[in-house]
Amino acid sequence: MANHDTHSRDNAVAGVSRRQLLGRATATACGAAIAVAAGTQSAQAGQISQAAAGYQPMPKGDQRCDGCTLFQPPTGCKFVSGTISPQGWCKLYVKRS
Amino acid sequence: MRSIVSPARGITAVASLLAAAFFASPAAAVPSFAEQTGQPCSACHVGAFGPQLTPFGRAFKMGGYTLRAGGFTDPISGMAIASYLNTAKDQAAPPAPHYGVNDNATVDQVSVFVAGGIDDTFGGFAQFTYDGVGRAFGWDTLDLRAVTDATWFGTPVQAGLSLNNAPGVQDPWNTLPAWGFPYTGSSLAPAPAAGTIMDGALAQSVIGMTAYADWDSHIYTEASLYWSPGRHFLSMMGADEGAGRITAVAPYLRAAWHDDAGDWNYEIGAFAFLPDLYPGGDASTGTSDLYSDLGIDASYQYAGDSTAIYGVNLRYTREHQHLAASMLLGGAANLTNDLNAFNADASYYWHNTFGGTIGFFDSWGSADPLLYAGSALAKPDSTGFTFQIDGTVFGRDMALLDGRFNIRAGLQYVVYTKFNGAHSNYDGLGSNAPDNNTLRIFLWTAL
Repeated sequence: MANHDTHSRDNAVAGVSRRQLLGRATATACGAAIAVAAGTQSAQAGQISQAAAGYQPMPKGDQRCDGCTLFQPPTGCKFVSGTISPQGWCKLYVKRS
Repeated sequence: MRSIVSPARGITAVASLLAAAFFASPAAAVPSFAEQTGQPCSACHVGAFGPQLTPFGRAFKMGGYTLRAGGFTDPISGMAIASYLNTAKDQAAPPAPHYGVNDNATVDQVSVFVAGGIDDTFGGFAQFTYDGVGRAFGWDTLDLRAVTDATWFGTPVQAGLSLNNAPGVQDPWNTLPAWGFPYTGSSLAPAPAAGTIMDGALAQSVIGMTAYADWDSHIYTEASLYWSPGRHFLSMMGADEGAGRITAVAPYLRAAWHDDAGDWNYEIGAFAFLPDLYPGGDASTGTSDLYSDLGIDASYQYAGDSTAIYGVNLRYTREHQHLAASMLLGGAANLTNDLNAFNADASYYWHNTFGGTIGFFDSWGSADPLLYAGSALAKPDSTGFTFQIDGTVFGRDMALLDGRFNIRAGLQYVVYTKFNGAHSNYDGLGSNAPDNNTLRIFLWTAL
């Protein structure tokens, strides 16, 4: 029967075991988490594309961009890039209160 | 929350592991994202408190948590849950050290989040939790992303990568176990012994790399590979191998069709998770247990003008188990078993302030006297309802501390009509399913 140590050796590749590789990948992930925290200091205003937002230049029912809290007149949006029609709509719609 | 597992060698703890995971849905509420987007909690979350996502919240998640209204925002958030628990009949033994057999009050968890987005490409969050019941600190939910926009085969695509630590954590809907109802639970509560591997049995015990693509805002596709990190790493993170150690890598696949009609939206999807495990991390048999979790899910949400929000989530999972290793280790009587699980919930929220949810759960499958030793009929069958009402004080236009502070108070009641195989005398010792009916009053706050 194989034990855990032999299992690790079985998976050794080019002097580096699978476990070591995975451990390094995990350490990289944790480093990335820290980078996320640090990186927020230099972040620019983040937007998504019109395609990703499902933007359309016409209303969806009674929902339209000029009734959305994210709309920035005359033709802008806080979170969706490009020119935005006041009569448009996307799935980020948040009704202006 | 993290699954809790005995470090004992072998597979004897598999069923209890699944039980621990049954109601241990990860709880998350991340005020850093509210500050980052300049939006109230209600923009991303139904009921103005996580984790039930609105279309905006799903877009924020699929977009890699990168939406940002301005410059620097504080990436650190905190969250805590405390609760009181009462069961219809005293439990046979205290559910954890330092607790009684009934009427337990506890701090369930205290979490710290590091969360944020960088430019238009990178974002994510890492949650670290003090488990107030287990009195241990460890990592909790992790989701780190990189995203981009592309045009593939003439179709606009939002594509991304996610590094996460539980199958389903990366999912944008609330149909899968990782973010499914109930959104908060207690490990002090009685729970059925059987649950699928997808039901959190490997949460925080694995690492996964996910590649996903959302095609024309309608077709969501995803492929992931999960693996088990080393024991030393898991130990450092306050975790263990959960239900088992993945022998190499385990594939996870997901696809969904979704549409947003403005006032309402829906999703219909399917998922598959195929882990090959050394049960309890024990590879001494030279063989392993192969699980095949295949499922379908659907959700519907009506938000209208947000004065009344209705939601429905459905999930069916069929798990096929090939338990070659468990048989040799004495943890299963059958080489193959099947386990089915159906979950549904329907919710209503009034002005994102007061809400009510009814959940239904049902599991059934093959009898196995070793795997389900706590059942007199050796069956995994359990059926019941979860009722919840809750109120959320802030999280809409009015908020404290720049929108960061929020608090929810709620009452849950879990009713069992079948528990571990039967309604009556399910354990052969005279216990009945309704004995486990559980009342839980909770207070959940985020800052």
